[in-house]
Amino acid sequence: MSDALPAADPAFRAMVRAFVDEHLPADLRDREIAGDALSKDDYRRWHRIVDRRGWVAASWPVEHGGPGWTPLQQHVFDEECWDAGAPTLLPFGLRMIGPVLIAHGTPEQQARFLPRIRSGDDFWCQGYSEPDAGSDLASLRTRARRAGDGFTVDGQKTWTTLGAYADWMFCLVRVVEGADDAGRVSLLLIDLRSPGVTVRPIAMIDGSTHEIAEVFFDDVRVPGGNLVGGVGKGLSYARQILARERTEMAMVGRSKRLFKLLVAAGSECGADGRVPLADARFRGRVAEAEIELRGLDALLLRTLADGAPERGPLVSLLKLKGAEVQQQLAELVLDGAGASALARGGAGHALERYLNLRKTTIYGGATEIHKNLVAQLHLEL
Amino acid sequence: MGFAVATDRALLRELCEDVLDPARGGDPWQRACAAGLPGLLFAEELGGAGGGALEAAIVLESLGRYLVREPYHTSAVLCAALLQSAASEAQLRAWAPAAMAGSERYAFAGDEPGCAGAPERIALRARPVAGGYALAGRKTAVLDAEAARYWLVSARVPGRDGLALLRVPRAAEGVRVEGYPTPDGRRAADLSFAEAFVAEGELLAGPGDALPAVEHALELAAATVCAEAVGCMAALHETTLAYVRARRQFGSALARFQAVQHRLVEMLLELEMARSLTLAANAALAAGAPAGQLRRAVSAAKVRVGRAGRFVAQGAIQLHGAIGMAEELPLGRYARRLAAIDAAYGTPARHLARFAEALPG
Repeated sequence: MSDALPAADPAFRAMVRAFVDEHLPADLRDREIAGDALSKDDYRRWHRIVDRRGWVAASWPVEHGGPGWTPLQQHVFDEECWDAGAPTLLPFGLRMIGPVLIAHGTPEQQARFLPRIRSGDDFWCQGYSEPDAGSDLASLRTRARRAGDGFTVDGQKTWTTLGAYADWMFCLVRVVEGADDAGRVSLLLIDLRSPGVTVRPIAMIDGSTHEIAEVFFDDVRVPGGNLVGGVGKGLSYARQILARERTEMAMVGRSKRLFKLLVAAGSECGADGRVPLADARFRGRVAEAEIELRGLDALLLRTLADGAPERGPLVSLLKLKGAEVQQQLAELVLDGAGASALARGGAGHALERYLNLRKTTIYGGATEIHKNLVAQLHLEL
Repeated sequence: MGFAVATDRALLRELCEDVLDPARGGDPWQRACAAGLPGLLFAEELGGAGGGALEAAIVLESLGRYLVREPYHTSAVLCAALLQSAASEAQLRAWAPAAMAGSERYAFAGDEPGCAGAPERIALRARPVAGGYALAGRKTAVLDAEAARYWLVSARVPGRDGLALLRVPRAAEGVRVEGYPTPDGRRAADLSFAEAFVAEGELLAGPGDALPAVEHALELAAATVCAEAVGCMAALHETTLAYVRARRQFGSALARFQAVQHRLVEMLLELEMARSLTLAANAALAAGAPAGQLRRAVSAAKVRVGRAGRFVAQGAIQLHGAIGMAEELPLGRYARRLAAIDAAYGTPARHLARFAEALPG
């Protein structure tokens, strides 16, 4: 664990900020900051703007079209994008399956998929959870039977984030070799436009119907060349993706944006004629939340100073605390909005956001699972 | 000097873990002196190590981990910083060698009844008289006052704005010392000055120029004492881990129970949040951050360290069960030290209020 904070790089930050300020379309920014739902084209528009600058695949090696940034520089880029109000660069292709293909894919897979991830031609989604396999991925049941030189896939994935926007899914399946085979969990790349695939939206507690989907596979043909690594590698790759994702999953950028929103909204006179931040108790809670946010930020910088951010207990702690801070801030935004949360478009979707961010302690490994992980792997209990 | 502090913090950490470990027996202050630790914050041209807040924090974390009660923080951090920033070159040349050797210890006499830690409310008077000053007034809860050879006393010179800082020998006439033990096993004293004479040459800085140095030294004291709390928390966490692995109930180690595991993870998270903000505060001091930023960084650390300290100490006691309540174990001593740290250099409540000042509305 690092006991140092990395040195700041103001020139790099200024360069990123100048780019974002100049190129982020104002209409996109306004809708993103207002908390409106963005379409696939909205996401793709910003993705392509960043790609033209050569920065979209920020974590990829230079030979695959990455900018050659350090983890700290990638973090600064993220932070500046959040701060400016840019839409998220969706992580499923860029940060999740992309790096796995770079590390474990065949040259054919790399040549076929990576350029289209970078260009934004293909959007991806993650196919992990199933109705009977949430945190317990080893119990998943979607089956891929050998059929000729490929597979036939049957089963169901659920809680698929932005499944409705995806062209492809990287999917954990059980590859079954014979009648008695229980199958081994493997990572298969599935074109969601294939016959037999059905994507259905799931209505969520925040009122959204576009964010989460369930995906059904009914005798879906998948070419053999779409298997990543070998049979049985699926859980190991899934763990690698989760570990890489966790520093980003701290979502410090989102929390900083939420905090700005909280302070801006909290210092305005509300519909009831009161300024939320003038209330001493509310002010104290906001100050405590800001301290949590600063602590999270310093914790993140310590992991980045380590040079190996995917390792060590700090990374799980970061996910745990990052999730809590987002929820804490969204709760304060809601409390600050008071009665106006019920008005149409309620105070920048304060209630919807509050409800939506309940997900942060569930996705990417539920809080309880991360506590188990830290206890077992790092405290050796 | 056995180390070049500014360049090698890892080495300093090793040195502290070695020198301050009570398992070595003997007098830890003597070992700290032999290793040059009291000279940590003094400038290299004086023969010191030229260290700053980040180095002091490393020493303090070790002191916390081993629960060393020596007056290092008061003398070699707070007062060393005051001397280094407020004393004249001639004074430093005369005074620093014994301070760095650890043979002459210092204590800071700042707080007064009713001043609530705010240096701008100091009322103790230093009236110019022939050849020096006559001090009249009171100081309260002066930590490690009796162990010091000199006190650095903040005072007001009549007719002057700002603050004066005077070096007062422990043996000065006209001073009454009422010492008492503090709950963390250390000592403090209330001092009463009745026209106590202090020679002209004992005045640091100008008669009204010491306030910035005092304020800055108190920021340093608050940020570095947070590191001591982090050391206390780390020790409590490790002790509790070892206990739950060894202690068996219902046929298995306590460590096997998920409720116990999760509480230990939550304690670790609190510890790491406290450590992160402590690091940020000391880094802000080391980088010479502007006053406004520095105040917020230090206050954030002090608030969060206070909360984390409660959580970790209470968790350690709870997971030990009844034996956790017994004085036989060190848990109570750590909990009392953490409580004493909370009370020193601004309570978490006062720091939260200070932190919140920057919010709009």
